[in-house]
Amino acid sequence: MLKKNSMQKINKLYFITLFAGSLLIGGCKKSYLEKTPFDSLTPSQALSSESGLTSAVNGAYADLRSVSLYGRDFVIIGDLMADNTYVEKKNSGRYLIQYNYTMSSSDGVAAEMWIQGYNGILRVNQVIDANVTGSKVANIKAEAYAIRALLYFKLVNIFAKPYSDDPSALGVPLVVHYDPYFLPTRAKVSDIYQQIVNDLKAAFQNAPDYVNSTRFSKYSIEALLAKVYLYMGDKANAKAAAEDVINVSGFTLVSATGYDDYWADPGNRDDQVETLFEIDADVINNNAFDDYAGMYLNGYNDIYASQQLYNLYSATDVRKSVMQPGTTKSGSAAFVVTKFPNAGSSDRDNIKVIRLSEVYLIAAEASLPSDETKAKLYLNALVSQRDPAFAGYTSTGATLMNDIITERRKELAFEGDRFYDLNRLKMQIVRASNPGAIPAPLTIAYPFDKRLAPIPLTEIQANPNIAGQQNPGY
Amino acid sequence: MATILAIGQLQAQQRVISGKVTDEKGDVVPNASVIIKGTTVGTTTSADGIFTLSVPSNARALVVTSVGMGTSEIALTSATSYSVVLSTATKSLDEVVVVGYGTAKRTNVTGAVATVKGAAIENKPFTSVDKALQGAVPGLQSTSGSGAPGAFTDIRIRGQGSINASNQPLWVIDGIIAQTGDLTSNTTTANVLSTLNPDDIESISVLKDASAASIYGSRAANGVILVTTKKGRVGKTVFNFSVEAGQNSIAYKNDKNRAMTTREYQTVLQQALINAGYATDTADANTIITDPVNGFGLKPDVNTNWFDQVTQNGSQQQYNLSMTGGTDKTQFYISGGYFRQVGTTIATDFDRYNGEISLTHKATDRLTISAILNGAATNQHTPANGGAFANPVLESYFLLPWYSPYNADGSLKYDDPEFQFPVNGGIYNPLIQAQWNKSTAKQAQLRGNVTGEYRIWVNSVNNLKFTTRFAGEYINILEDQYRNPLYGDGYPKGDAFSSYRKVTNYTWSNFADYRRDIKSDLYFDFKLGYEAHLTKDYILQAGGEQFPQDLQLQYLASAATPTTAFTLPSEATTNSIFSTGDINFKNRYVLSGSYRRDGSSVFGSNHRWGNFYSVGGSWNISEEAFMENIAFVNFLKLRASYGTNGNANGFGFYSSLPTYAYGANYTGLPGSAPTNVGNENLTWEKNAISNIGLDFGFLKDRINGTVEFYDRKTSDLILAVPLSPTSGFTSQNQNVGAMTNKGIEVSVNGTPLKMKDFTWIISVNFTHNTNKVTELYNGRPVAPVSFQQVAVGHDAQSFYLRQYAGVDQANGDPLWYTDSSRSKTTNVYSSAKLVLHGQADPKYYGSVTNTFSYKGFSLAVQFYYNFGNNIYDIWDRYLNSDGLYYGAFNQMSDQLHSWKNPGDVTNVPKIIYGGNKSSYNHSTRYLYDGDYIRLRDAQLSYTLPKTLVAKIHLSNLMVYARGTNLATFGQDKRLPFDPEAGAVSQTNFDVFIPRTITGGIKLTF
Repeated sequence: MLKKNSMQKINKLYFITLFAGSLLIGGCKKSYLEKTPFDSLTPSQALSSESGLTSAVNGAYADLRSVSLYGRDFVIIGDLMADNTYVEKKNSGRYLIQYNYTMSSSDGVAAEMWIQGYNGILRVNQVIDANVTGSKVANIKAEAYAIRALLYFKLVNIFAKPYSDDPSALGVPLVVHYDPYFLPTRAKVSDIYQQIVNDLKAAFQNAPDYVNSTRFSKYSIEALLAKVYLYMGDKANAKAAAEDVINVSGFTLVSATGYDDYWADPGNRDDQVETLFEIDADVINNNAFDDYAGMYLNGYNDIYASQQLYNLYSATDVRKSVMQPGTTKSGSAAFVVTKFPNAGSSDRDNIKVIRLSEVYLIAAEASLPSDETKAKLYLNALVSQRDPAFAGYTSTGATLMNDIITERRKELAFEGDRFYDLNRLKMQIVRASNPGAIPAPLTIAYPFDKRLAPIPLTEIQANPNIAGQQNPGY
Repeated sequence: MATILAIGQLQAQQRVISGKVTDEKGDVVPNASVIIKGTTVGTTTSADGIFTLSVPSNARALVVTSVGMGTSEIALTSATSYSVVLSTATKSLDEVVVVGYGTAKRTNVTGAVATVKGAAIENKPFTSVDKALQGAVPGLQSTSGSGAPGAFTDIRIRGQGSINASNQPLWVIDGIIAQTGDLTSNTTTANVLSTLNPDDIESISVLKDASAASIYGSRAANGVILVTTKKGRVGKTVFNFSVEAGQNSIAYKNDKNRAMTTREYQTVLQQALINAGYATDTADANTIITDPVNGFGLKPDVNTNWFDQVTQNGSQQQYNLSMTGGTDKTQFYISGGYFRQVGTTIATDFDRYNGEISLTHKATDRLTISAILNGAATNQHTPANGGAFANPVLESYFLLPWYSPYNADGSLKYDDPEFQFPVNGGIYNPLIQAQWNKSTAKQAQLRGNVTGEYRIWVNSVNNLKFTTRFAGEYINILEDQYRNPLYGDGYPKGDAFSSYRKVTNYTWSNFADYRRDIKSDLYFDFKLGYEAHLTKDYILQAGGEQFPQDLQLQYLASAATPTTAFTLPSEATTNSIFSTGDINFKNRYVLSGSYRRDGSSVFGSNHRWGNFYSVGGSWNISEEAFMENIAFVNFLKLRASYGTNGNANGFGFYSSLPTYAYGANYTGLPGSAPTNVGNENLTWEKNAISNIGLDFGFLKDRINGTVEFYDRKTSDLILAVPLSPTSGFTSQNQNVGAMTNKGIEVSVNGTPLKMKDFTWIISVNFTHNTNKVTELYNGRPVAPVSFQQVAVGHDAQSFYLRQYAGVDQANGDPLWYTDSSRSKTTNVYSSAKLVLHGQADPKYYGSVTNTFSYKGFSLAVQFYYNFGNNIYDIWDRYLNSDGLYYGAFNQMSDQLHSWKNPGDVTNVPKIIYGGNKSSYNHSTRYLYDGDYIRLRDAQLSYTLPKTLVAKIHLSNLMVYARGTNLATFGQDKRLPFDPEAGAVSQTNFDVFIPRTITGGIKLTF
């Protein structure tokens, strides 16, 4: 009897210890419960080395290619809301309310430009704030500064009054550090421009050497700076920067003979011809059906060139070749935009952000009113490469200014610039009546509330501090 | 000398007894457990219910138990043969019920546990067991909008408790916390549970309240479904074979609201053109209508019934063979089966091969080891659903009736000169889709466990045992999709896409059970355990395009250009400690409690661990002295419980972490971007549930049942809280919302007629649930499901639509209400206000089953009912477009009833070619009542007399005929589609739900 009890006791003890032991085995370690994803890093891991920063700035460039930014919205709206293009009756439903100025505060296109724009700003803010040492870090951060400047430049021109109208008007919120819970108010337009100029100067200081057209380098940064100064009305600085690019950079204008090939080529350039900075779209990374080029050709084919624009070019102007007489999908006579022919190809059209031709035009405009000779020098230097039969402009005064603006329109057609030019010049928009266009206002005065995009409803609902700062008319 | 004597005496002190165990009807009870009371010595009954046992002379009693039946204690006398009767009454106090981590006597269960026996779900013509649960358990809603074989099923226990995380219950299969749901990437609908053969299931326990479910802690908020598969039994090896075959056709068709014929279409087109001013009279209209070049090209003498072209009667068959047997020491169960269901739409089917091996071995008196291995392979072909032009159901409604799928020469028509089926840009010819394109999903699954149970200490007052169980699950899903280059979505290049996904799951549980008899009428049970769980997921995808025009080359080896290459693993872990305890006094008063502490890798680092508890009590009123006089009440038990548990599923493995991901590439170089804000405080959604239940039995259980009242409050619901987009992110997942579900569940069984040869049993299930959202971030409504909105103070699944007010009798204009007061109407669509009206979840649902038995015949008829919800038809507006899509798509016959003359009362506005004032736009015009009653199951069976079948060496032979989804009543007369529309209650052109008629044979030998 006794033996049995003690056997039981021993068994009991044995198995109680075994059981207690099993409680401790098998993953009571804290690390058992700490799992990290296999396709992502923590922000500190991602931004802790030079190569990490390079990837992060590549990600910022990729953001610029978003359909809601340079990938399509910026480029299309810049001509469509002005007098260069129109949407035809048989369409896929895109940009109709932009074209006929009936946007509301819940407009999805405005919301996406805002959201994607600030997403890009987050990407560069993280690069700029990263604490990494290395020989290339300054160059990488320079690219980040330049991208941030570009994004703020676009946002402040889309959502706020032009600097030339009122520098103390409400601009966009200024965010230079990552804080998910920050609820900013709109900074003044002048504050935003100050930030842009500071960022471009910082970028210029440590700019990387030119490798190819798809990344910022010293002179593309300076060219952008020239444009920013022009928008600010600071002609002296604009002229100085533009002249530096023209004279020192080593870039050359594309010639009249090379013009067609230049636009047909979807590849990147490293020969310093014409393109100072463009955003890359290639075989693998592109916007597929949402390519901006597809709005004109080889895609949705919804948007056509206004006959008003077509008639501006002389018969010998090579730039006329980017518009071909044809018809809309519903059969009306129209001018098909062929400037970006690669929407159906494997390699896609890159998006030109700033070209040497524009720098010439900036230099010309910035030379007025003080130095009309210089202005004509730059203007004709460009035009001679576009229309070899043309003898050159000889106008003066307001006519010369007008000619420069018209040349801007002709040179930069379909590149998303015209609307913002007309805004900064506080000019009314006068459209032609094109057959087959959807109904839309043909005259848009300046000022007009809807020439500014609405602060998105998403922002207003999430951010009570900005709630009272909506643009008038929304 | 003395020693030999002693041995002899020892031998003389053992004797062999035998007996037979039957239920109160006289049927034998195989596999009942017969144990000498106070010891671990025992045996199990054979297939004939017979047991033999060697007992020592001092043995006083035998305890005989069987799962799902009562317990019987037999005092041992000098007799060698015993007759034991176990009661099958469902609410017997001693019935053994499967609960979390073990079994419990029904007496001690203070929680809401519903049991479904294997017999109730086996041999049904459903591709997965969750479909068979429809109407089986009050409080459990099982619904699926798709009749595709192998389709996913929504299960809701006690209402919807979450907005963005999972609403599905936790499935625990043989101790494995199983992976369920649709794991495919490219297949319209699939279900991992379709790999489990319902024939292998012994029983299912549904744990509904805290007392029952909180033992599963952070994953139990939506209820827990425990599945136990069959085990072996002692005795001669018994073979069970069953075969069932039959046909599937469409369960619900509404001939009053269906696609139009050519003649009908011509009529409405005439009216629409005249009303729009394009034609002056019918003849003028006909010119336009029949003009093949400038008009619609309608051919009055061609009428294709596209519905018939796209649907078929599908075959249905299943075969199951199992063998079970064993000795005292070792028992086994081996099964194999094959199931095939061909769907009601062309190119839709499902096959399953499966098998199971289960072994239990009593290594020593104290140590029992068991192992289960269950494997299956399924193969499924499912067409697209929703608005895809490749969806055959959509095609059958949208294709114009004068189109025909064949050319004059009998070949399949595409790229025809009449532009009926242009190569690209129109609705596809469904016959070509079905024959030339391919979409397959194959699932392979292995599930099993190895369990060791050791009785450490057993005597008359103590019973301590330790169990360790290592359970694993391996699931592998392979999908192949091919789209041909000649016609359809794949034109012009042709493309293919393949996805391979592997999921492995391990659960290791260790727990000790201790029972202590303190006094003869007072004892307590205590359980303490530890568990570790790991899920690993791996996905590999590849895609390519540019295929040759030989359509039999369908794999990526033949593709010229690769387009997708992707691999990604992921994993999640959980660590837990759990414990339960209950005290039982006089079998009358029971107090119980449970506690679980869970830590999970899925939660934010600040809130990784959680504590979940429950307390419950029950009072067996019928055992009280004062109840002895109330003769008609033989059983009355009052239960109450309260506790907490959590919802940890459905928000991804890594959502609490801030992340940077790659893929934002530029010029072919890798680019990174911030992808998730993260939230260190992200934690499980909480569920606090109180429950009061009453179990009753009157007139010796002639009427018995259960009534439960519950109040379930879920809080800390995960919502996307908006951030200022200037931060770079638009939202962050935070735990902020709350909602309640309150309801009543009733289950009553009665035997109105019980005669010598004839019995009539009625079973009724009833559930009423009310859901209300109580808290949202800043009170702001959210809309995770289109056409619905989650708003404070309303049902979480409320429809959010403009209110259609019918048609203006004077002019045929469509009218909508301007606001929820319904006092004013407008004919301008944008002036109509969006209003919360109607809900997707039913207010009442359940089943009524009548079973009639006469001698060997049995007729069981089950009706399922569902009331109080609405169904929204999201595609109706294209088919009832009042002129907008005339000439582009076919229309529904309802359009024939449009407004024609002032004074007409109708729901269909005046039809005008080009549309009538946006009358087709989304509104309650397409919101139907969701009420319906369905004859869910009717089975007529005949069990041949045992004497007769014994002559052919069988022990049992039953033949039967069964129909499923035979008829539907009480539904909205205008409803064009099946009223069963999934948890979201929206129709989406899914494969039609089938009506299945089969015949079968079950035999045992």
